[in-house]
Amino acid sequence: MNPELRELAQRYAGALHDYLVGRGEAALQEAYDLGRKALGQGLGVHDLATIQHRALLKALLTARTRKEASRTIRGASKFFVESLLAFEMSHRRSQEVNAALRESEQRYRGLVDTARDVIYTLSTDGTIKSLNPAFETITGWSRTEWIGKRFSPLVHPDDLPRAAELHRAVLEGQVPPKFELGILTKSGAWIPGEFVATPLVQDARVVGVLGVARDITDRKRAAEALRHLNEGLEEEVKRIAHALHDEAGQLLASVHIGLAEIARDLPSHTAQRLEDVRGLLDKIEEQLRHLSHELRPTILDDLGLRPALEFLADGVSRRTGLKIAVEGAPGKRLPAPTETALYRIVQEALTNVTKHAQATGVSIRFTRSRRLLRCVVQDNGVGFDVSAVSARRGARGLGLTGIQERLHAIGGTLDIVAAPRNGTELIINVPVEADSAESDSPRG
Amino acid sequence: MGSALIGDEIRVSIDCDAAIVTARQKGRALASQCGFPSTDLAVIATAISELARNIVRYAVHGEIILRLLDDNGKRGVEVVAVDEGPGIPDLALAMQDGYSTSGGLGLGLPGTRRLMDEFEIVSDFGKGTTVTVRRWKR
Repeated sequence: MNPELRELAQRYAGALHDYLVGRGEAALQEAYDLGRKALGQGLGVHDLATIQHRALLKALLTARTRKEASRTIRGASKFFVESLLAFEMSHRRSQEVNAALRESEQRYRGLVDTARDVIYTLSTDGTIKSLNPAFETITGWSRTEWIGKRFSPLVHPDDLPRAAELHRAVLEGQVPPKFELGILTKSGAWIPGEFVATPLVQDARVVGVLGVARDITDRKRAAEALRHLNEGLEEEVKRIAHALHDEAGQLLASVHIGLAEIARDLPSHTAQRLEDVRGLLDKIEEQLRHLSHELRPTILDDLGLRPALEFLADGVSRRTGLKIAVEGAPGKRLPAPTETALYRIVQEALTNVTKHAQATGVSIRFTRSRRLLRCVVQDNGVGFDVSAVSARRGARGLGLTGIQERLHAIGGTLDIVAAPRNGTELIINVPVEADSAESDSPRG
Repeated sequence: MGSALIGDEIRVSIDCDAAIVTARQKGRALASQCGFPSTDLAVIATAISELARNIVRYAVHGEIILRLLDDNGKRGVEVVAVDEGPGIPDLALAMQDGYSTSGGLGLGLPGTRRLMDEFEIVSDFGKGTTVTVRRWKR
């Protein structure tokens, strides 16, 4: 018996004795308090029964007659019931808590079992502890094939170092942003998974990782299809621009020559009228050239992004009076889809500025680090409420959705810094290949 | 409640531990009149202990009122604990286990609720608290 138990046993025996010699209700109240105290000290019902047993034996040893012994037993049992009631309350509480836990457990189990995303837990050493049924639907593996095994063989070898790094970060208590990993299916194919992982905490200690993974095959396909569509559109636009500029231009040139020949054979007053017609033809030619450049500046293909943007800025400046500066250089030639996307994005941004910003100046700045090209379009206009405009998706969303879709297709991101009356800054980041030689050479 | 009061109510003023014993004794005697078995008397006495203990601890002074009830032939005991103490600012919180140390073990007000058949509590912050519990004969 530990000292606490021994002390309690002594008090219990004393109180029982008092009760038996006629202290009545006060002794019963003390019995209850002893039970309460035992519970508070972490003693169990068995401990209390032990104390009761000893106290009863001791009381019976001093009983002189049968009658006295019988009185002792009856009194002791009453005393015992009283002291048990604290345990009874505690026991009922446990039952209630257990029922509530079971219900909550069932609710979460239901959520996890019917979820369409994979929900998993990992131990600190990367062992898979649990998987929900969505894992089987998505990957074709049976859960029993993987529970208890390391997660690493499921992850694409190229993604493994990052997966391990993220696992460590989460175990340190961090919640990293969404990340993508290639996941092995039973058929041997790899599917793209988008992951969210959080620390699994038990008793204020991180004991593993809780994660949710989504199959983003469809989303990837849709983005790819959109990219194809955009490329197709660009090709078509290029073809039309070419037809307008070169073919229609050549035809017009032939018409000019024809008209000149006719003019030579005509009397001078009629020749003057023909001259007027040639003036009109010049205007048509000018408009055709203009239209073709608006559609697709050949300068983008021939000379690259920066000269094309300078050409664009020059045109917008002349039309609107806006001062536009192009600063910095995008570095060596980028893949055609990236150059086209950036050109279109800046074009859209400049349209926004002229339509909404009431600005007097815009700067387009390029900075390039090894694997990242940043393009910042900043105006000094009235600005806008970013969250309000972004919420207004679709047609009236300032074409920001279009910008974002174009960027998404080339793996870029868009950040907008704007506030009412404080100008607008579009920050565009695009991943690029490591840049060694800096040049704006024509593409081979 | 559709139950009738039988006989006079008994009032015990609560201001110290000795008064708790008196209230228990009177409650036990009243319930015993009604024919409750002795194990149930222990339950009623325990509820009185917990309610009276709360008065002494939080309100310093209050009253335990004991009544015999009859609900269509079903006999019961009602224990009302009234005090004019500070009141309980957040009842839902006070009824949660773990609100006080005894509550964490399932004792106190939450424990009393589980021990008895009926439990009602009214508390006006600044004006005091009334807890009513009932236990019916099986």
